[in-house]
Formats: sequence, structure tokens, C-alpha cells
Amino acid sequence: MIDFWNPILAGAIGAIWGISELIGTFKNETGRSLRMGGAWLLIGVNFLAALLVYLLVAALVPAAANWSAAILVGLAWPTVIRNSAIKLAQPLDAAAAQESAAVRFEQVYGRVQDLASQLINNGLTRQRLALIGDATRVNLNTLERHARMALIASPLQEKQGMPPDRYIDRIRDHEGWSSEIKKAYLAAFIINNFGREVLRDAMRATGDEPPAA
Amino acid sequence: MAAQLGDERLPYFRDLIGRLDDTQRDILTSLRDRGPGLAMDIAVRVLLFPDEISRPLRDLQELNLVRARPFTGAQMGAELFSLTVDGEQVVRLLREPEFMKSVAGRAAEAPAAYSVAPAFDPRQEQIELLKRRADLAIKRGDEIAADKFLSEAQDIAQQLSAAS
Repeated sequence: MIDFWNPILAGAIGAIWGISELIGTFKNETGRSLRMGGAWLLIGVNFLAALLVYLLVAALVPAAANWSAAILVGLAWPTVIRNSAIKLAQPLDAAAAQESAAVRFEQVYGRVQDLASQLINNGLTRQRLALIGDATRVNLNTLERHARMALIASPLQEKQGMPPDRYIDRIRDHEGWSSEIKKAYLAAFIINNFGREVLRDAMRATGDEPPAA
Repeated sequence: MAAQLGDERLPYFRDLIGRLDDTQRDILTSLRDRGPGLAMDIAVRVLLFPDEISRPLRDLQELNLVRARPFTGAQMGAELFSLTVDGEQVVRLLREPEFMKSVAGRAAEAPAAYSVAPAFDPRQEQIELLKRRADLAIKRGDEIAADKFLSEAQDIAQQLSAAS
């Protein structure tokens, strides 16, 4: 394999680790989460970090500048390198040594993961809210009917000692709520418990389907 | 899995889970299964309304099981709720039948224990505080400090059991 491809190989394996983390975290909405900027931040960091570690290893140990070392670095990146720390000083006193400055890759990576998750979660929530907003154009009875049909097709567990269809009654009969609010709650109920497609079906039925997000 | 937890934290989680009511457990499980959400999202997942989950949500935040982050652009709740690391652990334990048997067993013993135990001892509060400090020390990687806090908590617990 050409030398140019070795760092790319290490980076690609690192990127696969990043994708697997996303799949594990956003298993319900993997496809959508992979289209968000936060996902590419996490994948990019994994790609670049594995690539840079490989370049460092290849520069320090020229004998390791081969494709097998690239695979090893890519595989080792999350398990070995990311969990290590570089101590910047080692005081003689054991207590002081605990507080000495150190670069902990785990913490740095944890912050990147946190930022990526936040960006993805915000994006997914915005999409959900936009869909709920669109669903308020649908007739209240249509939304109610779809919510009940979804319950028949995929019954939810009883919660708080209340059957789920009774919850739909509570939304419909809630005094003081406008029709818009009731529709928003029914739409949120459908999305959160049965998924976006069921809500889209309700919107298709009335010709109010929004463009796919 | 319970095996991944340090044994010293299991009693802490057993007590914690024993104190959670069904609504709080449902909220934690829904956040794990369906991801972070606004108050409205969480409410419809547990078949309640946002005003009915605000108190349990606040309690879960105080127990450091749920965290809230500002979310801009929402009309129906300006905070996005998600599980903390401890919250994830609690959900994992909630799904372990063996562990939950031990929680149920403890709950069954609780009335008898309450009837003979003193009403409140400030040292219990001190033990909880030391446990929290140990957690924080573990989070920042300071195992020596965490060990020190846990030893202090253990000493106080021994004093308490000797006194009772």
C-alpha cells in the first residue's frame, strides 16, 4: 500500500469508531443524527486524531510506517490512546502529584462528545418541533384518530395506572387548551411514542405532509 | 451491568433507586430509550402533562440523574433534559432483575427499620455529602481524594451503627 494511504487508513478506522458511538447513542434516529453537523464533528475528530497519532508513530518509529501499524493505531485509538494521560510534571510529593497538570485525552474527548451530542440533540429536537408545528394544520379529529390507530397497532404500556387511550381522552377534553395546543400535544404524543412516520401518515391523509427532513 | 459498577457504589444506587417513584423511573427510562427531550416530549412519553412532571423532573435534577440544558427556539419548554452518567447507571440497574429484587427486598424491610431508627441524624447528611464529594473526585480522576472521602463516610457510618 502507498505511504499516503496509511494515515488515511488509520483515520478511516478511527472514523468508524466515531460512527459506532453515534449508532450506539442515537439508535432510534441514527440516520438523522448522521446528517447533523455534530455527528461530523465527532467523526472528524476521530478521523484526525487517529491520523495524527499514526503520523506521530510513523515519524518516531520509521519501521512502523506500514499498513498494519495504521490498522493497529486506528483500532487502538479509542481503547488505548484516548484513555491515556500525558503528565506535564511529576512532583515528588504523592499528594501534590495527584493535582499536577496533566493532559487527559479522555476528558478532552469527553468534552468533544458532549458538544457533538448537544448539537445533534438540539438539531433533532428542532426537527421534531418543526414537524409538530406542521401537524397543527391537520384537523384535530384526524390527529386523534391516528393516535388511537397507532395505539391499536402498537399498544403502549399502561403508565401511572392509566391506559394510554385514556391519555388521549385527557388531551382532547382538557379545558382551557386551544385546539392548536391539543393538536400539538397529540402530534408530540404520536412522534414520541410511535415515530415521525406515523405523524407523516396523518399529514399525508390530509395532504399536509411537509418536505422530508 | 452491575459488574461494571464499583461495589462501593451499589449500596448508594440501591438506596437511590429505592427512593424513586414510578413516575421518576418512567422518566429516566424514557430518556434512555427515546433520547433527550423537552418537558412536553417527556410528558407525552410517560402519559402525563408537563406541569405533572415538573416536580419529579426537578427532584431528578437534584439527585444528579437528569440534567437540563438551555434550548433556544422552543415555545413549549426552554430546556432540553437528558440523563447524566449516574442517570444512565440507574436505568441500567432498573433493568437488572437481580438488582431490583434486592431493591424490593430493602423496601419491604424499610417500614420495620423506620420504626426503630432515630428520626434524623445529621451524620447521615454528612455521609451523603462525603459520597457526593467522592463521586466528584472520581470524575476528575482523583482516586486518592475519593478514597479519603469514602473512608471518612465509612467511619461515620460505623459510628452511626455503633450508636444505634
